[in-house]
Amino acid sequence: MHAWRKIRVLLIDDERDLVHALVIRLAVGWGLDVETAADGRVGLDKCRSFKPDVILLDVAMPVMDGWECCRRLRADPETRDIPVILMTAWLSDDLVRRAEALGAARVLVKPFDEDELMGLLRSLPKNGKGR
Amino acid sequence: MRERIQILLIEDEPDYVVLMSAHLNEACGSSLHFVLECAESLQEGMDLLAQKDFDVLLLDLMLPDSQGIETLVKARAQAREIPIVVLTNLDDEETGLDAIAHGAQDFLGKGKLDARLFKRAVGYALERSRHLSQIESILGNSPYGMVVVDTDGIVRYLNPAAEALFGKGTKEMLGKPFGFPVQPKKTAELRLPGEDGGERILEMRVTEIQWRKDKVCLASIQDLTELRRFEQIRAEIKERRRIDQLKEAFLSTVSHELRSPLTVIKAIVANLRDRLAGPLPEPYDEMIRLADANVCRLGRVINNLLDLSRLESGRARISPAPVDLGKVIEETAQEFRMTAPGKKMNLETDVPPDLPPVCADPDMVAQILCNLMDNALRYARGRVVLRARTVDTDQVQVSVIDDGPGISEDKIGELFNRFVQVDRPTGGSGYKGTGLGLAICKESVRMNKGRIWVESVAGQGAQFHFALPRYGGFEATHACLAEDKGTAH
Repeated sequence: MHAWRKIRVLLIDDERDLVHALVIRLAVGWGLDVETAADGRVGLDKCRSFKPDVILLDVAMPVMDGWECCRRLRADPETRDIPVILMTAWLSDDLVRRAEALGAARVLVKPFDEDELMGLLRSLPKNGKGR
Repeated sequence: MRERIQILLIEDEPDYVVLMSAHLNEACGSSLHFVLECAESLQEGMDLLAQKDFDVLLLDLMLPDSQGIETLVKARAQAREIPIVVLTNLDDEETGLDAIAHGAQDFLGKGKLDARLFKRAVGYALERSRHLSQIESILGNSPYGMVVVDTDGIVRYLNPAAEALFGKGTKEMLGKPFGFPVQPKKTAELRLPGEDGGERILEMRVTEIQWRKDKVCLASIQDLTELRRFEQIRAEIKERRRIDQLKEAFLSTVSHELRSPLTVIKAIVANLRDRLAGPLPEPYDEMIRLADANVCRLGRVINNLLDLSRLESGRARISPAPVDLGKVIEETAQEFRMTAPGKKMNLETDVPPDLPPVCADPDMVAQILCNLMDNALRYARGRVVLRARTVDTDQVQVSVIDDGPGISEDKIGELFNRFVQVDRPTGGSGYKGTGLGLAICKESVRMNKGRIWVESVAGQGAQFHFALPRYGGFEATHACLAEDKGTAH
């Protein structure tokens, strides 16, 4: 019998307040295993050690933005299959195209509510493969 | 290969003809070969000129049918392109110089003539004439207008391009005042009235040159009208693009700045509601509910504001497609029935089964209908009707009819402006409008080549109508593509 394992979520966003609120939602509310990073570079490092099942990735960040982070995640065979949910406050056709080109699993538009987030997490492939 | 030079000699004294012939034979060398033809009178010479091509004309000025410089003038009139060497009597330099002033290439004193002098004179004349014709060819074919203006402002020369630029012939301009101030080393813009009532812009660059003994101005003139028009259009396009980019950047920034804190508040309120940070006394439920409702409302305002800005900035893209309005109406009605507020509302649809599709962006149509429904439900007392009809054969009209308080006549005019809310229902039972819904409808309808308007009598409800072009057929397709604006009343 397999040991029950919590779903691991890596939350990469520079907005401390949002990270704080979302960690409570994800960890306390839904009982997920959550790790956070305040920019793309730290996010990449944590991704290697934490090995998340899904990554919530903000687009606009200092040091390394979500695009570059996503590109590097896709380039690395170790992380390329982890589904990425891109979070943005500004949805445009251009953004959707870019996200698709990078192979991001979904785009989540801020402000979102917990139902949308839960819906997206549920819709992701269970084995963490594919897009 | 030797160059063959055809010479026409017009000379009435047989001795000279013989002498000349002898000099010519002697002058023939490895590179030049002279071929001589003779005429005894000017008339005979002119006839020969008309029949054959000659390279050089040797002309005695004292002929049976013409004497003096007059002979040269007549010969030049006929032999424009051919260099002329005038034959003068012994030591008559005065006549020779006069001949050069009248366009002869050179003169030869008959008495001093020998083969060497002869060869040199003919060779020089040919060479000078070739240079001249090259320069004339360059000036004649140059796209730049060239005008020589003397210190008195009189035109001394102009090339064909200058004639074309000023729309005047050489006769009209030569020897007359140029009419524009000409200053050496200066570039000036000349503005002339154009054909279509517009303005032609000429650029004139002036340099000082030597013209005979005078210092004169050479004006090189170029028509910049097209270039300027092109530059202007390019600048306008660039400016429009820049403004568009600024607008987009502004919208994006505003969007981030407004939505990011809202996302935080929304998440925190949800955490509080679900007691994720520990227990809270029950009275907090209502406060949290109000906070949540108002966060949602603020979110709607921001969304609407950004939607509207995007529509008005012209950056919103529409994807027209055939839209079955009947289906959209049924779906919207169904959605509102399910999520309807506590009010008991009779929501009816009235759509004929054969309603033709319209040509519009499906998402925009759904949004328009949704906004109108939203309004109707907020103001209606108990009944809202959604009706669709074909009108004017090529339009489909949708009407959203409520039995609310209606709109007074003085308010109808401003109804589609932003942040206008008419007699907003008091009590504030949760859901409030943003004051932007109708402004969005107006812009969306306009972009889809339709029109939107309202009919209402105070106290008797309101009817909001919008009409969109039918899909298919020439006229509808034309309407889909037409650039004319839809109307919004």
